[in-house]
Amino acid sequence: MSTNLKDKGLEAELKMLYKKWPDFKRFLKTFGCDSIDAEDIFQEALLIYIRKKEDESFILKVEPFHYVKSTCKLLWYNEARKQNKLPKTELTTEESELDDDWFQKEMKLRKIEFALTQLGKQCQEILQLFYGLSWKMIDIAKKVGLRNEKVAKAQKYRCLQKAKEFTELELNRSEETNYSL
Amino acid sequence: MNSIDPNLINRYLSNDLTQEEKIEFEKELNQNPSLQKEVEFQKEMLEGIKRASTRNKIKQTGKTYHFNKKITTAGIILATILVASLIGYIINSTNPESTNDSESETQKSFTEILEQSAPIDNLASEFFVLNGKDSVVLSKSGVLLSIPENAFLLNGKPFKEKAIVQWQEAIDGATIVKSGLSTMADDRLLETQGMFGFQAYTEKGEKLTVNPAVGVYVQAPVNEYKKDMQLFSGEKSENGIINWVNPKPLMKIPIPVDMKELNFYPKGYEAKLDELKKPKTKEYRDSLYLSFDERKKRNIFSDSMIVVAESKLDSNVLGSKNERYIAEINDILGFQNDLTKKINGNIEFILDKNQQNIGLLRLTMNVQHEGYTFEPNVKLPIDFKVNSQFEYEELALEKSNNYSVVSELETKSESNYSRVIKQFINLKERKKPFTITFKYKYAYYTEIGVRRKIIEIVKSQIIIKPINIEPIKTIPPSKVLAFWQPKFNNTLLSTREFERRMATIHTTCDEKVLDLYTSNLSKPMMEIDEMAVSLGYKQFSKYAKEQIGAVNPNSPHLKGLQNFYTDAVKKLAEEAQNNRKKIRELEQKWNQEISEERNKEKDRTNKREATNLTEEYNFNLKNVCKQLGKTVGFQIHGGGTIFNIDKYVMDATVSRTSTTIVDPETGKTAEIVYNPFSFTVKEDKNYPKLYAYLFPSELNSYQRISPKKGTFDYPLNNDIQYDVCIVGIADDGYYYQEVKGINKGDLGELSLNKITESELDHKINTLNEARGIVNRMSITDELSWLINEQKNYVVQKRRKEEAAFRNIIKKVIFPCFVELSESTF
Repeated sequence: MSTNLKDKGLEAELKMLYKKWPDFKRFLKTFGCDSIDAEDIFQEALLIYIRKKEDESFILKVEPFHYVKSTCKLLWYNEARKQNKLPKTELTTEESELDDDWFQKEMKLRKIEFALTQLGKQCQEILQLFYGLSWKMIDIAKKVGLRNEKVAKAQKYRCLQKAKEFTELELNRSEETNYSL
Repeated sequence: MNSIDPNLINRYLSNDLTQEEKIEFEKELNQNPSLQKEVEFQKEMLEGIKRASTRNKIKQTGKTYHFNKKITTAGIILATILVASLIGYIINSTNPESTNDSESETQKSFTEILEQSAPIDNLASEFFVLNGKDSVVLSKSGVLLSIPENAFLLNGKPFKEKAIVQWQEAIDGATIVKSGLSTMADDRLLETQGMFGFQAYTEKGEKLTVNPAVGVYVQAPVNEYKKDMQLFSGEKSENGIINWVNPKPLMKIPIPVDMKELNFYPKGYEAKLDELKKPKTKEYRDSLYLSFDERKKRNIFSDSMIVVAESKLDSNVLGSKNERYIAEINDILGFQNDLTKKINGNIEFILDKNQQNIGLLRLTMNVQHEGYTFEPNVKLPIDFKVNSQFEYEELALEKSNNYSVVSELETKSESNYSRVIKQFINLKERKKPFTITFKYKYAYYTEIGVRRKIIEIVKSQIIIKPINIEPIKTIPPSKVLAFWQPKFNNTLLSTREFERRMATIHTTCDEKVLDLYTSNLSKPMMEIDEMAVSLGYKQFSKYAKEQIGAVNPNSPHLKGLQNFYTDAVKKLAEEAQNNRKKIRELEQKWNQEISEERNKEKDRTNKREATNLTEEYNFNLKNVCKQLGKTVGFQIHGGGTIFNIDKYVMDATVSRTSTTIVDPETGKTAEIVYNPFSFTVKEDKNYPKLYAYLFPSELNSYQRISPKKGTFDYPLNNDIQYDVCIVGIADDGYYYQEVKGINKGDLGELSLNKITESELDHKINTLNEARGIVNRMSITDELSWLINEQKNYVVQKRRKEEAAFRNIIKKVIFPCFVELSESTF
């Protein structure tokens, strides 16, 4: 239950950016992207922005809105290439600069994320609460309805083992797979 | 690698290793590429998990965004659910005999059955066992359930025995999702702040229903009060999905405010005081407000009757021989030419133990007519019966079929000009007008000490017209001030919501409405609002619609507070009464002192006037005899002619007119000359009391004269020199002017100058002494009387102002107060 100030600020920023969704939707539509794909791309771009922000060495040079917009475009561009579609627009230098090692690593993490969706709901919740939100095991036990901390810990271990299996399998798959998150 | 525990990597990445383990692990890591790979892999995986949790947050944000948008675009009223529904399956009445003997085991298996048939599936239940009395219980997540006695019905009849309450709650999103609860109301999506299941059973497992007349009070904690939240009831469909129907507004829990920040005075009270520039402290305003607390009297006098009295002289009883005096009587008694006279009064009814119509008749009669003082020093004829303090009259109520007399008649002088007649009477019929007949017997004297005429009997009829006046309805200040204190913080009364209601309560003037709120501290405010409506005050229905709930209904202090309030009201009412008594006593003491002073003054003035007349008569007589060549001592006790001189001089002196006296024996003439003398005072309206003192050069005594219609007019003796001083009394002190050595003339308009009390004392004494007369009359007492008159004037003026002020405030505090005036009838 650690909703600290940072989280609050983050939530507020997310809300602000999300309010601009209609703008992003219109923007992505101009590339021939339908609204369902568009929202996935938008959410992915938001995710990248948030994660980038958590990196202390990152200095934001443009407005968050523009950063997310550029990321959207890059993501769409990559997606279109994968699907062998001809992108209707070329990337600007600024946009292609975004496509760096860090970005590539994010794409890899996205695959891992996909792999994890194959886990059961409870496993996902336990792992996310523990590694993502740094909850204490005792709280997690209560939250997911496990008897006590010990049981939760054992369950976490099992989940982690499964997660490894799915991740290994996923990373060994071919690049061509489409992800839908 | 195989030697490495996979959990160790995880612990390493979670920074969960001891320093030694860490060093060991890092050493191994540097040497082992496959371990490096494994660590890198796990690191990425954990990063992936973290990423997934952030994604979830973004997805949630998206959901909220779309949800809000959907609601705003569709214009759906936001609603949520606090459900106390009676869904669930009817339990097949289990036979208690067939279950196990052990009570706890019965209980256990019983609750297990209940768990299966709970209103909400897949949601753990809490069970509360109630003993049939008022109960307050708190659920795990802090929901307060207040279950009064008689809250349950069994087959439509009140159930008062042991009851088991099954309670389910789903407040947070996870629980709601986990138990598969929907937030659908038909095809609309609802925002929820919690869903609840409530069901009560008898010990035997029979289902109980909630008595709609009593109800169960549920107070759920929320982070944020949402205005449009409503209570929905759940309807379970065949497939187990709940549809939410029949929304009802929720009760809002008012937030207590410190009593200091609230204002319970009647509307306009403070504004009026500000306007009149009265002190702003709460102490002053509270004590002023409290001083209007006058309930006892209202309790005693159920209603009263106004006497519109016309006293009519019965000319028949006067008889023909007295006819020539009628005009004189009219003048003196203040009767008009048609022999009627206005009398103000009223009958206040006191219902005694036997509920008889005992009334206190109170009449105020004016007994003086301008220019006449009807209080001569008289002796009473022997055959006159006295039962009034006035020697010269007899006053009695005549026997009548309308009433019987209960007590002796009392009369009391209220001022120089009016007196009050009091008598308790028992009326046969209170609603009808009736006539009271008074008998007066008057002795009428004009000459000093000499009886001129006795008017034998005067009958006076007074018509009493009963007008029923409802006792003034008020909200007693003591009842307001008794709760307006920190002790009542954190109660229903210390809320902005009640502050608004109090303003309305003042306008009802019905203390019963206030009592509703002060005696039901544990009830939801909306319930009390409804009670006020059922008392007939429709204006409270708008409050009831606000759906305001209770404040700390389960606080153990409430009962104590209730008693405290009753005591506080009593104390405050007593305090108000005592204060009033104190003030009244002080006023009466002052009146007594002034009245004594005045009586002394009357005696003194009578004596002085008599002395003065004698002195001036002697002076004139001496003067006349000198002119006629006679000596005084001899002439007075001489023959008939001398008697004539005597008589002429007396008449001239009394009437203060010039007279020429001829001695029939010698033919010599003698003259007594009175010169016209007059003056007026500039801006005499500024002086409520205005006197002139004449200090004659030849007499021991002095004279005091008063203006008639604004003019001082008093013929002066030509053979005496006068020093004149004029004294004006006003509320801010004394005004003074003097004229010396004068015996005639119109001085025109004189203006007075302000002087101090000691200057006044000094100047008047100087004038008195400057006459050079050895045996001059002392003026000390007169001066002290003057000074007292001035003080009394200030006191009376202040009292009048205070009374006027209180009258203004009274109307503000008690909006239903109607002043009684003659025009009312």
